[in-house]
Amino acid sequence: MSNRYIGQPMKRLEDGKLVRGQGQYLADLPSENLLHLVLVRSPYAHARLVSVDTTEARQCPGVVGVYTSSDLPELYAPASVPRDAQGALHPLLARERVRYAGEPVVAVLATSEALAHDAAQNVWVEYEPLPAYADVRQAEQAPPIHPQLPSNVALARKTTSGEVAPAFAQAHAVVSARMVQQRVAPSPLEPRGVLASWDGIREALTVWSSTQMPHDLRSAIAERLGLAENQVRVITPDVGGAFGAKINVYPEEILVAYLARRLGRSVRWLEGRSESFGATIHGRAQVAELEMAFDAEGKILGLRGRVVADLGAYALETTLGNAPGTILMLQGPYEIPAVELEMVGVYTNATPTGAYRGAGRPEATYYLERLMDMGARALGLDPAEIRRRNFITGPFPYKTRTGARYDSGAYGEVLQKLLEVSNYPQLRAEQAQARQQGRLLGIGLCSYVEITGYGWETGGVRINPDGSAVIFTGTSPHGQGTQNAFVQIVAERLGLPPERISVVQGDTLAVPYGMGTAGSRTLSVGGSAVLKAADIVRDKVTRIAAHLLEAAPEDIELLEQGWGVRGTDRAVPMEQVIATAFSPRKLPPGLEPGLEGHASFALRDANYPFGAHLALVEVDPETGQVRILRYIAVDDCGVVINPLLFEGQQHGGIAQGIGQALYEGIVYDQEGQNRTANYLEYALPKADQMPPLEPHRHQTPSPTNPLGVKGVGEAGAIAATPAVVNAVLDALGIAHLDMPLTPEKVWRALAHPAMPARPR
Amino acid sequence: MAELSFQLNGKAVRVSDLDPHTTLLSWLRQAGLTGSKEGCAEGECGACAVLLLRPDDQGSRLEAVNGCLLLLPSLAGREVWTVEGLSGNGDLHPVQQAMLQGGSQCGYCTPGFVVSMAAEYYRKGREGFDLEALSGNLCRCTGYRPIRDAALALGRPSPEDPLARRLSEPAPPLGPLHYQAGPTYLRPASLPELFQALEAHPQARLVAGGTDLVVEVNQRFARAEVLLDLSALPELQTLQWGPDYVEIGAGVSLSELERWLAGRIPLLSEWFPLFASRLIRNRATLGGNLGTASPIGDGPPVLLALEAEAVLVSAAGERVVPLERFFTGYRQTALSPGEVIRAVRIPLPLAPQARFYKVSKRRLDDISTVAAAFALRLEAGVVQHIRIGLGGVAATPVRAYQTEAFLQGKPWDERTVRAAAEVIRGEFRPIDDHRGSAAYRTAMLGNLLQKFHAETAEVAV
Repeated sequence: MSNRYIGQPMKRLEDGKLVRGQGQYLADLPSENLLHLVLVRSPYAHARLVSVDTTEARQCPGVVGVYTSSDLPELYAPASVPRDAQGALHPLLARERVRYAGEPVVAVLATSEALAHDAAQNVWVEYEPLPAYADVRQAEQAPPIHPQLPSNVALARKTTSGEVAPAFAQAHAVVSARMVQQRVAPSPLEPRGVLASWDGIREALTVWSSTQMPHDLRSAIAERLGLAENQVRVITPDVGGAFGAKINVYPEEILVAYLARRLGRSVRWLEGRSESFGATIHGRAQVAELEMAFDAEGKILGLRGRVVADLGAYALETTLGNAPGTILMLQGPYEIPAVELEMVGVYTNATPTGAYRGAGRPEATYYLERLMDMGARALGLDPAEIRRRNFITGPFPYKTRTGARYDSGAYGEVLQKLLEVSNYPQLRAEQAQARQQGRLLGIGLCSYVEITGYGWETGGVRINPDGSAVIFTGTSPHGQGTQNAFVQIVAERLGLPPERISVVQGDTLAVPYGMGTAGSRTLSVGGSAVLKAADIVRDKVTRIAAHLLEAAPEDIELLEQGWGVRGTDRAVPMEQVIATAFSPRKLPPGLEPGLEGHASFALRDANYPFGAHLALVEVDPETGQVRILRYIAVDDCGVVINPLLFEGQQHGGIAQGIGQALYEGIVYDQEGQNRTANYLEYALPKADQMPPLEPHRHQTPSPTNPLGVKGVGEAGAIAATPAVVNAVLDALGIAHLDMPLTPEKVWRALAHPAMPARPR
Repeated sequence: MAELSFQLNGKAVRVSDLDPHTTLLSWLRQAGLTGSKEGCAEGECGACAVLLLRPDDQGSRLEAVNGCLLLLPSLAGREVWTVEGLSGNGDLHPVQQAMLQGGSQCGYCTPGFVVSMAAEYYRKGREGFDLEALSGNLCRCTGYRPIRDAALALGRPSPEDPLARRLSEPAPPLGPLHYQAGPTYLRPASLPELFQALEAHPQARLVAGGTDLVVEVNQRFARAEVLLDLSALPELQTLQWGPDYVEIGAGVSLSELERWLAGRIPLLSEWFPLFASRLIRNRATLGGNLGTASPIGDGPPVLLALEAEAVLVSAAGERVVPLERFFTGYRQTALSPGEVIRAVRIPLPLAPQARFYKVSKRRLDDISTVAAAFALRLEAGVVQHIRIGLGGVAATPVRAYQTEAFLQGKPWDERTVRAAAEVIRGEFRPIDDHRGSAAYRTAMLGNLLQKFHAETAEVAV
């Protein structure tokens, strides 16, 4: 490839619209003649529904309907339930019991949102509180919160490979820890929302939803409403962030579609921020007890232990996926000769959990990278050295004992690059010097390997008679700007100016099929489909150009000024090729008119990005406050199509990783009440907490797809959390502390290492 | 009257028959100006930021404020710009242009950042770009660096820039307002009018900056029969540096105060950025902060350390209450019916050494676990005067009298302070909650005192 566009830091085409405030998010869609849905949600984490009195609410001004579960057919939100798991499905409205604070109980429809809220205040629900088990350790032993299930344990698996017991018996050193991956809120700035409109003449439903997966939502709605998929059109307007939280099809999406169809009206529901803290999935939420055995040289001999995942009250589509993903990635970039890993997923009286940026990999990476630092401490090795001694060096593809198949990797090289660009020995010297002055500096490393891409995708390219072009993709972004990468691919292959290319996505009527955005799949799967479609068009362009130039198609090449014959100065401009394509009589025999190509691409094997990150922190010994002084990242995500988009993902992911390490955490009290359901209590990182990031890259093309790309969307969130935690613990000189590393926690560790942790 | 008018993006708009609890944000969005977004409806995310014109000694200036926390009637007679107004003629505004370099990902927070950035862009006499201007805006996608880069790369407005030209003219003065559409919204413009309104509507909710009240309106659907806006009262807008005290009008916004003080009360300078974001400080007032009497508000500890007094006014006249007697219980104050806070007085001279410390998750613009303010005067190394104001350790903001008494007349050395740290740890019984344990809070009290000593000792040497 000549690479006029691929690899270039091209600005995003949609930003002009976004900076003017002309983005069209769900709440910005025209809202005339809408009915507004407001949900009465359970104030209790666990209770029996004794009675619901909606009489007063029905008489409130503007009210069109008030619904409880008994007014609805028995419908549930979809869930992906593995064969060996116990599924507990989320009803649209609570039936008989509520199982988490925030669970929808009553639906109120009115002619304005304010009137719907007013009426909702007049719904009277009588609850009989039951013991609430928001803590996963309690819930594991507690009576089942779903009486139809034998226990709260929904999923229990064991992964064993190699000889674990002898490995531990022979070990020179064993490190072990109980580590909590706290619950965090993905918290996109745009909360969820859905609008559905029934067209009685066409007998068709149009649904606009702030979702990552429009086609999946279409299937879920069609199936539950008894409609054919060609009667349901799902459109995603601009989506204001998602980070995994908008993969799931939520009860509200089905409910709004159902009510729109039932009433033959347009119905909208917008999630409020506090509501979102209870109604949208949380991420992470695991407790791991793991131990790692090392020989005298610091080589890993074995890894064993147990990961308990807090599933929340019900299974949604991504709820049961995090724990298996954690186990899959628990070998990381290291040779581990023996593993024995148990995973348990437990229902609790809390908001359902699910995929959040990384979904399993951040958890696995965190556990491993913590254990590696503990190993380094136990053996008196530098954290960089112990990693170096254990890296997988190939050959690739490399099969791990936990079931992954790494396509390519250069783990030692990226760490080496990190140590060089950060001048690691110098940093260690500065740290020692600072310590002599009583300053607590810490350096944290993280080596990671993650998994990206899955499934298949459709792509299409259409060139219009005026030379403008449209790309069709089944991926459906939530703000990453991936469409720009598609434009670059098509511009590269067809020699069209990028500003003449637009992208159609997030519309089930316009796009043949798609699996949306998740698992950092967009470029490697969707991009490959677009590339294939572009090459179908290119093939035809080449043949038309060959015809016009009276040359063989094999001799045609793409030049700056059009399509030319290799080795000659003969060329035709693209405009002429396009004009010919739309003039049947000018076409050579065997070619039909038009310039359009559609393709699909299935990713046979996932790809595995990797990298190494370093955080330098300072801890205030008086108050325990942590400041990040430097943050350096080296990420290898294969070929980079647009460095600006790449860096955008690095920055954003690292910010979220830092957020989890230092600030964020959903806290439930004994009664299962979320004490952190707003932005004052739930601390997202702000601009002043972000250190100047120093992003770098390394490129190992992936053999899994024709672009050679891997995903970059999640790397930062995976690597930053352990890097920062390792740095703080390095500053403190202690083995482990659970996140978030709030001033109090850090200060306690400094002042009173023996002081017991405060119960949650 | 059920009608009011204001200027929006340079054009007059009229609003009638809308409940006075309607926020500017919801009204804008209903009117089709959807550039301002709702991200939280509690003033924490800044996605709804708009520009408000306010008077200034060289004409007027633009301030970015949260549209979700502005009640529509509070805008009567004022001038407002939204993100749509910045690129009115179709060309991108320079701030929007700067944001094109990676400053936007999902774009939802972008209009808010653009507005906050524009306010700073137009600030007269600025040198460089004060990133504090962006402290009220949350972004979940970009990690902020490209946004900061965009801000730092900004140039200056050209003299032809229409908004820059507007700023050379004064902002319209605020007049009285009587608006009724269901509930009543009153904005008296003189004290007699205020007292009359208080007499007629003793249950009226007072609105200063609205940064607390409107959160309640949005989140808990709080509704008042009568809302009484204090922002048009000149008596509440005073700023005076007298021989014996500094008087700060209760209705002066914190940003305004910050600008006027220009660092003359260092303790307040330290406190401002820790208290709240620029978007909030552009609206929040000292009067409002005292009036809500939150036990964890950060304002009272600072004012207690400064030995501030509240000047209360009613139809019967003025009285001055020392702040330590102003807080009478959990969210209760010494205000009598018919009485409002007119001003806060800070006695002069100021103690030469003073510090404010806040322990919280993120440090800035966050709920404090513990907040402590210290003011100290030494004579020959001996404590001649010390005042300690605390928040987060009792049901009200408090002074640490026992510790103050212990330190009085003692040498300001490590030994004394170590002993005093024990005294202050024993003086209060803070509570355990999800923000911090009692043990941590107690320990912090002593640590912050020691930290204060370490920092002042350095200065003394």
